[in-house]
Amino acid sequence: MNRPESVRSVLLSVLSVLTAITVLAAAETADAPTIPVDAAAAGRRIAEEMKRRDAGFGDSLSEATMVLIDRAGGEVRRQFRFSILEDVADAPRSLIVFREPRDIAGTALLAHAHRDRDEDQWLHLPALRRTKRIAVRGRTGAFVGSEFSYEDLVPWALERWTYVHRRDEAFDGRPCHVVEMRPVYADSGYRRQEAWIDQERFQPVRIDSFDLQDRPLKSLRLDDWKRYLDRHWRPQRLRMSNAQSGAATTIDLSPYVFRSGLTAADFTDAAMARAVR
Amino acid sequence: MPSWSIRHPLIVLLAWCTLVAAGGVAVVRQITGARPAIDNSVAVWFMRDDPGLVSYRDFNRAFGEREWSLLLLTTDDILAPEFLQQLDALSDDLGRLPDVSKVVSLTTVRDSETGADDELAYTAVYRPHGSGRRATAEEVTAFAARIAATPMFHGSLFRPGDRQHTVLLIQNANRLDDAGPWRIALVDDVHRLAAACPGVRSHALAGTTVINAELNRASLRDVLVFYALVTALVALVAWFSLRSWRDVIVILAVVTACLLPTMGAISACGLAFNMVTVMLPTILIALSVADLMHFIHAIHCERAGERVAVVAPRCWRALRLPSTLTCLTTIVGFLMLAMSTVGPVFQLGVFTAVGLALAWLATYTLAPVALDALWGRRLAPALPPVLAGWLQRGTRRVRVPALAIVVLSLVAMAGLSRVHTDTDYSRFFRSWTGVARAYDDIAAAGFFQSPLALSVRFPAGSGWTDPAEFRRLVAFEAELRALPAVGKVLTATDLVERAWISLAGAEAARRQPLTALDRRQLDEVVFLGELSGNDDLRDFLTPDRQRCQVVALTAYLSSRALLALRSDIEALFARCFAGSPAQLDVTGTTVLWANMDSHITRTQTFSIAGMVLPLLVLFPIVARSLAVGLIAALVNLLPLACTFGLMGLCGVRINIATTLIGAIALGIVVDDTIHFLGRFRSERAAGRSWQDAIDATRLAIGASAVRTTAIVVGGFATMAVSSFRPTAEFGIFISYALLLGLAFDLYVLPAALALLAPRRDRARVAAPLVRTGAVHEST
Repeated sequence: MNRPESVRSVLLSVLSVLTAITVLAAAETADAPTIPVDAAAAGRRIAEEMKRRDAGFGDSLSEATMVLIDRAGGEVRRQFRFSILEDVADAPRSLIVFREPRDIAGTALLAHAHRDRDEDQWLHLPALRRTKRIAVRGRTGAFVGSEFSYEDLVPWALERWTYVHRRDEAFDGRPCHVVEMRPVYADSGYRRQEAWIDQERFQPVRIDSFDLQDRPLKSLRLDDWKRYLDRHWRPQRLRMSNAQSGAATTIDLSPYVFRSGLTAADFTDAAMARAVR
Repeated sequence: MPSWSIRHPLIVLLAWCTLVAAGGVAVVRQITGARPAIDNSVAVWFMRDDPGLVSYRDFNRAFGEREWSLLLLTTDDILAPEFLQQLDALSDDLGRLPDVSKVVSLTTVRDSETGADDELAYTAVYRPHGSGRRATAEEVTAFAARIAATPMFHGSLFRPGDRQHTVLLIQNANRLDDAGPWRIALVDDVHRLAAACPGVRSHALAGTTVINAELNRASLRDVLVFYALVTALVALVAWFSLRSWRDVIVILAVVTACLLPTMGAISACGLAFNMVTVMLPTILIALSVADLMHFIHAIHCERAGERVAVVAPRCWRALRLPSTLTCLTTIVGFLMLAMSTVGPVFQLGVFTAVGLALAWLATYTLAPVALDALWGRRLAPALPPVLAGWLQRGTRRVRVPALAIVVLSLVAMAGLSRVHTDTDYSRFFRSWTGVARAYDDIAAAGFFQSPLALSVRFPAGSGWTDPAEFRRLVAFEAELRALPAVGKVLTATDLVERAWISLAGAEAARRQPLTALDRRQLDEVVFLGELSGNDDLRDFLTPDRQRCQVVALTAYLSSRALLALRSDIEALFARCFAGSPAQLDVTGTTVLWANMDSHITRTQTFSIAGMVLPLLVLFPIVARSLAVGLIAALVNLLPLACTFGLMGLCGVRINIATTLIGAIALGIVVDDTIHFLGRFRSERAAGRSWQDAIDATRLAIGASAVRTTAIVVGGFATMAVSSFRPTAEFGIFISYALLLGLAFDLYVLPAALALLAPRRDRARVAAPLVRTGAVHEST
């Protein structure tokens, strides 16, 4: 054999093998995105991956027990049912029906999120026999006296934040991307947030929030993760701690039920009255 | 003791240098360390289990460690679009300050309203809020009409008809246990921002945060100024009294030897200084030289060319009993303060007592060593001739002055009935601090500067939304508004009512007010308010609805007036909530300060009683005569009574600083009396007649008594420059008490003793005197 030809064939063989390996590797890591060097682009990419990973859950509902813990350790309990509809065309819809305590049992809060404007909210008041649309300008207010604000509970919308990848750091033994998020919508109670995004699941496991003076305000921990439908990770426990007041709130969630057949009709103001009966 | 010290000078010097160095290191570590050097925070003034403090902490746990400060702005027109724009920017800037959680002003105040799209929101009444733009004429007209039609805003942010004044309510932190300088920084920042606002002609800031900040500022200033002034004064008076820089050095050495270890002990205990203990260096410097002056005077009178080491034992023997007694009486006077339940007063009492003990020790160990080393065989300068000549005048010259002193004192005591405990912190600061003027300006503008927190706790099973309790509360709030001392009431009821009106409509809300709703309906209206963004509700209502806070705005009241108002409010509550187990707690920093009056009164009573009773036993023992001892006791008590009488005539109240006058003054004025009685007894034992013994004693003791009183009075008088009025009053009146005590000792006591002279002693021949006080030759 001529030397040049033999060299060429060896090279071709090696190239083929390398290509095969590359393709196989790419196939194996199809779900793991590459992170660009630029921090903002990297942050955006991570956020997009978070959205992509969780897309397609359809609807879900869960029973939640919220415990408000004051600085002295005193506790107040709330219970509610939380259902959410993934609206692919627009943005998610959510419905909270309160079960406890007695003073708010039977009230319901409906929210329609939008990509390009503030969400709409309605509050159903059975004893007053009224349903009232309420403004979200109060998003910074405490949700039923807890350390969660309404802003914390509105389903996350990709376009309403900017993202910057700050670093990679382990949290609770799991490697995470630390992404700084800044709201682009008006009236936010936060100047920025830092989120630890699990590198495997692409879900936030910790979010630190900073007030408008950029002082540490609250820290959210999300624990007891379970995987549903082989794809959708959900935390069973959330704990929000207020760094400035010393108070905290925990939310324990029952196992989620996905794709139970909820539709848009279940997330209307008329449906609220049915839901509370 | 002096003999031993002179024989072992190196040991003595080493021991004192070590003690001084240790104290100095502790002080430097505190100043340069992380712990604040000054702490006038509320928690410092009360025992940990003080019921008022416990109640206040519980209140803070429920509603947050926050309080309100009031910023009055004066401008040309509060409704001018340009001013409103500037006010909005100012409110925003203030809201961004550290330790500020909220600013309520004309441009940031919010109200529940239903918009054109039927959306209920708790939103700013001033439409351009947060946008930075100027309001249009139509917007200003609508805004003005809206606030005029909303009584909830009247009297707190503006007054109808007054276009020149507006108030900003600043909600800031109120960390009871945090002694850092953040209050001073906050107050300075608010002043800076308000002064920089273009449309503001003038401003005034009031609130307990302001008073606390000024307390800290005054304390810091005083500790530096007093220390420098009193040291300079002591050195100056010592120089003029003794005419020798050597003696001045000895005096300063003893002062340092007692002061630094004492200050170091305070630092080592982890205690910060406060407005009471900042007086400690001044008090200690002034008092530490009292016995020392007697000792130095005695040494120089005895020496006549001999070394100090030779005469020191004789002087020690002559002085040890009276010196020990005087030191003990002064220490006891301060230890009486240790019975106080006010922490800073306790600290002052204990540590001053420690310092005085060190001063006594230094006088008879360190001073002999230093005097021997500095003087050798040199003679000291002569006594100033004026003083010598004055003291040589006999009893004939004391009767008339004594009578005049007693008569004037009795006149001054007419003011005793006007002396009482009453504290007005807004008047505690000199005019140059601006605090009193700020309170006056706010009052003159018709606003109320002092928020009073009324915490209502509902029984388990009920709550704010329980219809029966709610109706009682509404009735209570209405009657509270009618109290003359209450200018404005801020309550959750107003906020929830606004939400109800927005939901039901004004007419429907009038037909069915909140008091007509059942519990579930009330719960839902409150819930609606919360969910529509009314986070102000959290300031007045706890999430479980078990507690609510009603804020009563009043003018700044003195402690007496405030405690009287509290009684009225409690009686009102009992009437409105008859049959209900609901509880009321009137609390807040001003209430705690008012509560302190009872502690002050107790301190005053126990400290004086604790001094008087031992003196009634001590003086007869020292004088070896019941009659003489009782006369001496009276001679010491009259100056104190006269001082308090004068305070009453001048309108000076008993407060946290002036409560210290009694025990401290008594502990000092007895010193010269004890020296006098001791010397009188010695003269009588040497064979002198009664009258000659009086004359000789007056001559012997008088010079050093005048010198020590000059130094002590000078030291206390430096406090008159304090920007904190109670400290200045303390300095002035205790100086007066000491001067009067000296006058009593030099005139009234000799005159009174002369009246007690036994007939048979008048003709006895005198034996030669021990020379401890006679005039000696100059070098």
